[in-house]
Parts: sequence; C-alpha cells; structure tokens
Amino acid sequence: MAVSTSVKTIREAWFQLNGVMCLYKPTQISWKQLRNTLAFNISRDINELEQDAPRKYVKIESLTDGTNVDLPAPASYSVATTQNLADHELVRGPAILADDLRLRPGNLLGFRTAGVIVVGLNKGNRTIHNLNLSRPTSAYHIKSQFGLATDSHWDDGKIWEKTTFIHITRDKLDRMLASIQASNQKKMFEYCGVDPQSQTAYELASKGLLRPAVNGPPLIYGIKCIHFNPPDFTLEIHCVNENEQYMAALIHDLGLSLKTTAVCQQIRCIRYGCFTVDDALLRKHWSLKYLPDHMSHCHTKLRSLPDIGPQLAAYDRLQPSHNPSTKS
Amino acid sequence: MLRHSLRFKHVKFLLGYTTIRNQAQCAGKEVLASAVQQINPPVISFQKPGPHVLDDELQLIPSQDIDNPLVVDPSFEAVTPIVSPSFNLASLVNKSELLQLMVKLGVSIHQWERKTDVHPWVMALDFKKDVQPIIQFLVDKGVASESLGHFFTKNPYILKSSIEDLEIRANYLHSKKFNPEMISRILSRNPHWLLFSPERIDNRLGFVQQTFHLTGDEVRAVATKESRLITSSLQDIKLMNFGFKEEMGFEAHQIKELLLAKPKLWLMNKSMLVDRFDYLHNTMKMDHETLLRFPAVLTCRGFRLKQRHEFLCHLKRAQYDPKLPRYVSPLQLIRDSDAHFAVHIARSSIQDFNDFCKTM
Repeated sequence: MAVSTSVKTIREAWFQLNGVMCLYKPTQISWKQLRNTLAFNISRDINELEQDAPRKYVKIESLTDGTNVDLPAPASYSVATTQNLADHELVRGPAILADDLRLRPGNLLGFRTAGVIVVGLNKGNRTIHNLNLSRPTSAYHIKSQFGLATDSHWDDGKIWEKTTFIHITRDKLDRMLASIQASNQKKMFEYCGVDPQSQTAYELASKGLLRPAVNGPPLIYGIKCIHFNPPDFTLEIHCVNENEQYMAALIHDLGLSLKTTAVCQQIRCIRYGCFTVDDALLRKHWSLKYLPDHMSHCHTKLRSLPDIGPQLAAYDRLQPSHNPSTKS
Repeated sequence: MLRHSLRFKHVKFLLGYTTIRNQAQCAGKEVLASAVQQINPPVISFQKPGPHVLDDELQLIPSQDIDNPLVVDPSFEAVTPIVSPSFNLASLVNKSELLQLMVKLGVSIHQWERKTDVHPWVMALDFKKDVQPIIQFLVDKGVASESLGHFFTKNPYILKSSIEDLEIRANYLHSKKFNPEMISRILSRNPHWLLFSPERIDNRLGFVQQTFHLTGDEVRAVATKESRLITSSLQDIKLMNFGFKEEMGFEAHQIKELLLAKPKLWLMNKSMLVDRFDYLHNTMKMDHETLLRFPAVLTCRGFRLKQRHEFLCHLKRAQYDPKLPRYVSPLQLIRDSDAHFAVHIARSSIQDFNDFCKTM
C-alpha cells in the first residue's frame, strides 16, 4: 500500500504512493498550508529518485552537401539514434509536481486546532471516504479558562468582559457537563430519524454506538472535565461532525450557564476513529523517508477494524421488509 | 510539461503565443528569401527580365511572385523546414544547438518556460556570437563555471544585454573599490545584479548608505554579504526599517548593527519577523541586546523556537541569563537537530521531546 524501501525509480514509487496517513497538525496552520507543505515534501523527495530512461530520438540527415543545386535530391542519409533531450530533467521539469498528488483530509481541523488529522493520498482517498461513511467519533482535549469573554471565544481575542469564577466548583461543572451530554443523547435518535421510544430505536441502539446518518449538526457523545484548577480547566469531548467554531462557542456557552464566562486556550484533537496521537507523525517527519512505513502502519490498523459500513442512512430504507414501521 | 502548459493559467500565454507564431512565419519567409538570394543569384537574374517580355497587363504578376519561394528556388535545395509552432521550448531542444548547450551548462529550460517572455527572443540567439562572450565575461568576473547553469536559469535576460553594458556595470563596481572577490561573490549570489544600470545601482547603494548612516567600507560589506538587498525593492527596505524601529523598538544604532550582522533579515516577511520578535521578547523575555548579540535567533523558524522553548520550560530549564547556572545560549537553542537538542541541551531524550511536541 505504500512505497517500500526497495523502490528505486520514480515510476515505481508513484504507482505505490497510495494510502492513508495520520499526521499531527500544528496549531496556526490551515489545511491548505498543511496540504501544500505535505505535497511539496513528497514531490521533492520523489523527484530525487531515479528518473526513467529518456526516449530515443532518431535523427535523419542528408549526407550530401545541401548547397549543391545540380543534384535533384540527396542520395544518401545518415541515421543516428541519440538520447531525446526533451526528456531531460532540466528541460521537462520535475517528474512529479506537487499538484499531481491528490490529498484529502478525513477530518478537517480548523486553523487553530492542533492534533490528529487523517489524510488520504491518491487512491487512499477511497479508504478515507469509506472511513468517513462509518462516521468515526473524534476525541478532543480543550484547554480553557474561566473569567474572560472575548469576541472570538479564544483567549487572544478582543476582551468583552471579565467575570469572577470563585463560586465554581468541580461539582457544579460536572453537573453542567452531564446535562449537556444528556441533551445530546436525546438528539442522537433525532438525527437518526427514529423515535427514542420505538422498537427501531432499540434495535439500532443495541447494535452499538448510534451515529448520525448524514454529515449534519455536531453531536456530543461524551464530555467530561479531566483537569480542574480554576481559572484553568480542561475538557475531554467525544463527538462527531464538530468544528472549531462549535467547540469555541460551546466553551463560551458553558461559561455563561455557570454564571461566569470562559474562553478557549487550546483545542487538540487526540483521536479520530482508530487513529490516536501515538500514531501521528510530527511535522519534521512529513517526508518520503518516514511516510511509506507510516502509511503501511495505518493500513494494517484500518484493516484490523471491524467492517462497520455506512451507518443506517435511513434504517427503514435499508431494511424495509424486516422492519415494518413499529413506531409507537 | 504539456500537462503544465495546458492548465488554465497558461491560456494567457497560449494566446500570446499565436501572435509570436505569426511573427515567426513572417520571419521564416524573410530568412528563406535571403538565403536563396545568397546561394542562387543566377535564378533570380533569369526571372528578373520577365516583365520586359510579358505584356503590360501582366506586369503585376511577377512582382507578386517575388514572395513565392517556388519562383526563386524551383528545386527546393535551399528550403529548410520552418520551425513549427510549439507550446514550449522542450519540443525545440532536439533541433536547437543553443538549447542543447544550455542543458549541458545545467540551465533549467523548464524554468524559462515559466517566464513567458523568454521564448520569443531566446531561440534567435547564436551560441558562438551572443552567448559565449557573456559566459567568458562571467567566468572572468569570478562566477564559478558550475553555477553558470543556476545563473542563466534565474536570469536569462542577461543573454539579451550587450557585452559593453556588462563591462560598464562591472567597471562601476571596480570604481567603487569593490575588490575582485567581492565582485565575484556579488555576481554569483545575485544573478540579477547585472541587469541594473550603474545609475540605479548607485542610487540604491546611496540609499542604503544614507538610511543606515554607513561608511564606505560598511556599504561594501553589506552589498557583498547580501547582494539581493541592493536589488530588492527600496519600499520594502523602508517598510522593514519601520518594523525594526517602531514595531520592535530597536534604536537607530542597533538597527545598523543588525544590518551589518544579518542583512538577510531585511529580505524576510515583516509580519512573520514581528511575530517571532514578539515571541522572543515578550514570552522568552530576551532583551534587545541579547538579540543583537545573537541575531541568528531572528531567522529561526517560529514553531521551532516555540517547541524548544516550551520543552525547556516544561523541564524548568529555560534559563537564558548567562550569569546564572544552567545557562542555555540562544544559539544552542536554535542550532543542531532535535535529537542533539533534546539530549545535550535539554538533557532529556528525543522520544520525550517528540511526545511533548504532540501536546502543543
């Protein structure tokens, strides 16, 4: 699935350059920048491999002197085969351009979010597509701070107000988080389009985690506080369909409902599906020296997953005969 | 490359090309006619008396036929195929001796294709007549023969300029007491230098001297150390000066010191430099004097500084005061690989450093 170390030529490497990789995206970098860095690194490294042999160029020249007017046509020709200079690297340019690589993100992290990002390369994009159909959950660590409110909901934004936070205890925070989780659990069934009291809902829930049918609104499966030292606290959130703004707004709203205010300091994705921070490659390792081994590692990891398949776009539509509408 | 040329952004180039092609056809016709006249004058003299023989009404026809190569050259002996229109220089490289020699020199022809204005005139050059004197000139001025390829890749336009102009431009440097080593460094580091007329270079050197209050030797030192600074936009230098003075708060004499130590800073992106300075000054608490002693810290990439500084903070080793124990020099902070830094400076392991980077 990935370039093995024995590959010597660009051509061999190109046809093997498919797969899924799991990178550690630094903060303050957009997906576009990440994509460009990655594509530049890969194309730079791959062009250092052995080139294809140039094509042959057949040169036909007349041997007689062209200035002689009396002869009707040159009688003899020389045929020489030389290297076709149009295939020379200096003339043709690099064999693989950065734009030739198709790179797509599995989970699109925002500009300020750091953490695990899963990227498909060339044919690996199909795998990414299938992975995303199963709506894998992601886990986030969000470092935040009580006592401030800003326009961007981040700690470096323009400050709206400052508030006290002495009245907040771990207990109060946990209670609020539990209520957020409970209200989201109710939404799970709504997004699947079934009544929570129905037999269908029971059957769906008994099969495992209930995932939304489409890429729709964000949904939180679990939210808990893992570090509490006012004004600083850290939340761990398991969710699907999330985005950066949603997270920041969530922290802001959490602060308001606790009768104070709160801002984000850091959002870090620590897991996407089966890929965790331990698998992720740091920015200095985004090169052809490390990526092939890494992609085969990711491939074995994906293969070891149970085949979940797309979640129940509409449960009734998938299995109409077995499940007549049993909604109460 | 075809794939490259067919991208939408090259449509402009293709449109421009049709006009070039039309010119080429006209030019080809002229070349053909002149060649025939040299080779085969008797044929023309045979055709010339035509109008005297023919009737008055037909007198116009022979004059129209002058354009027709068949009339002057019935046996096609002097006819050579006109170079067919092409999208790129790569298709001409097998036929053109000039391009072949350029490839031998190490010139990246495909980079010439990105400069869309190189095609029309470069094919008309003659290697012996136009290119060789310039190569000779550059080698005489101390440009290494290995770097000639890079030189012409970056600056093909020098092939268009006359050798007298180049001599004048090099003599200007001599007259300003640049010694041959300096000239060789300037020309090899900055291929575009020779495109600037002596007046412009003089203007720019004067600007740098006045802005930073430099002596003659200092101007020569700066121009030699970072010759691209002299040919870069003067507006950018002014903007950078504003950044150093107003945004970063350096004094005038400190700015001068910085310029002499690291002129490269003036070619960098100002907002990125200000961000980096902000981190160094406000987060890492380095004062202006420290930065002047180690100006290389300002050229280090921001994320690298951040990772290493925060790792040291995490280990409680971020101590940049030379008077206290466990001093970490700013140069040690930015130098060497991560593995070396983690083991020898942070006294930890590379695994710990990598794990720490994954929490940022």
